[in-house]
Amino acid sequence: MSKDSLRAAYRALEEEAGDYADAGRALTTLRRRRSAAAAGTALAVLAVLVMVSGLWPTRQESSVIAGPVHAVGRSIHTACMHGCPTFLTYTDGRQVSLGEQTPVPPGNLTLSPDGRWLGIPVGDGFEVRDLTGDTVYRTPSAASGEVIGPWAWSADSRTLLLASHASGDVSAYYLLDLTNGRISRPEVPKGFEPVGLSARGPVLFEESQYGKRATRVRLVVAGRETVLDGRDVELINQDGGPALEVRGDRIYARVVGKVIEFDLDGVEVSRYEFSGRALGPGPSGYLVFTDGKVATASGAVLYELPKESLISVPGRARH
Amino acid sequence: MKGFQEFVTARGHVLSRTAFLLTGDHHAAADLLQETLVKAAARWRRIEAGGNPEAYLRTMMLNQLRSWRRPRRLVFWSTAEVPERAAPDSSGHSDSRVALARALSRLGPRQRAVLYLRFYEDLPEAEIARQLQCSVGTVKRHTHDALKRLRELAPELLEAGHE
Repeated sequence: MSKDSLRAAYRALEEEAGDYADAGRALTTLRRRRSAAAAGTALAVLAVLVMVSGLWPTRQESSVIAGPVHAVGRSIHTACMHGCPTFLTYTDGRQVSLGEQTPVPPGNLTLSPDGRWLGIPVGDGFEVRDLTGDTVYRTPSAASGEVIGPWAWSADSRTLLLASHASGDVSAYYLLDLTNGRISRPEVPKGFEPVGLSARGPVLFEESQYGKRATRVRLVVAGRETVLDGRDVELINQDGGPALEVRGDRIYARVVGKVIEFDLDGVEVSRYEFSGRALGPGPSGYLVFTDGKVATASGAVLYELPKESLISVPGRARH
Repeated sequence: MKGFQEFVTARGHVLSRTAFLLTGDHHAAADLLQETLVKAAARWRRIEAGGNPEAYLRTMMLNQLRSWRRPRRLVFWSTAEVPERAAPDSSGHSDSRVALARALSRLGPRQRAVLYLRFYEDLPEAEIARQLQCSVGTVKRHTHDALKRLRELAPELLEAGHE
């Protein structure tokens, strides 16, 4: 056994390292945490009361894109991790810059599965904009120290699940009905986390499984327990929970170089292996990014982007 | 906090490299380093007074890695995301780079820490034990477990003549 090979691999890997250090962001985060600690819980309770009292969402002007373009979004991408602008690309090929200091896609940037709705963080809140019209829904500011981010879309693009959270701990979930702008508070049982909105109903993950290496994942789909069995593939590792995506009547479990597709009863439907990066389920199959090409897992190339792009495809949210 | 900002500007790339090699993942590295910087900013005067802030932050990052559970809901890509190279790489380094990044994503934090210190920084076990504040026996055990796991995940990284 040669340890020199391992040393050489480390030397090779170090060439890929980016520059992730951001003093300004660290200081901003520090200030926010100190403010949050000082503000106490009273403010958070007040903020939640405001949110559920009917003030949210409201129609407002967006500062990002002026006016409707009457086309739907194809992707959000940035060509590099640091210093590159982020673009929204429409299905007709036009591109709009979303700015240079945005979260790195997919981050908190999201497109509905049909590409019609664009969701982006704005200040301490979140904005959802109809790309085919002039409707914009914007949340008020999150509770102190928290941010509001997109969690999951329904496959029909009519519902977006959002969460108000800080450092991964969610204080509240919200369902935004895009057909009328109304918001409701879903009932999430204690110890469970919603990971998707399926054709049958919400898909819940039992949180006690986090961080425990396992090939099997227990879920609750519309009130019924469903087990995803990766067989020889570890679906949960020590660093975090499984990477799950839900679209319609399918659940996708993503691991390194593989995606396993299950139906809502936990029956394995397909298993894809690829050398590039998994992007998420699309209307014509699971999408991957390889060698600058966005393609279905079966190999059909849809479009090209710069080779090191970080991408959010329609339907992609936190889960 | 001018000193903190100047330090990050000057040495951030070195700390970024450490964070990346400890995680094998760009997003995880960014999160690990940023969390470390937030904590360092809170006690910057004391760190600066110590005379070697880079070593201090590196140790903070190692401790952070071992005790820190990355906010799970912020994990989009727990798997390795190694950007495609613009040009073909015939050296074989590209394969080993991808294999190592993927393998790191499957190892535990302590295993990643000992592998990084042993095979990237080439530190002896006693020094690793000092840095990780554990016994030499614990370092040996984590190294053994990490190499065993690595042998399962990416045997090519431990094969003779791979270079």
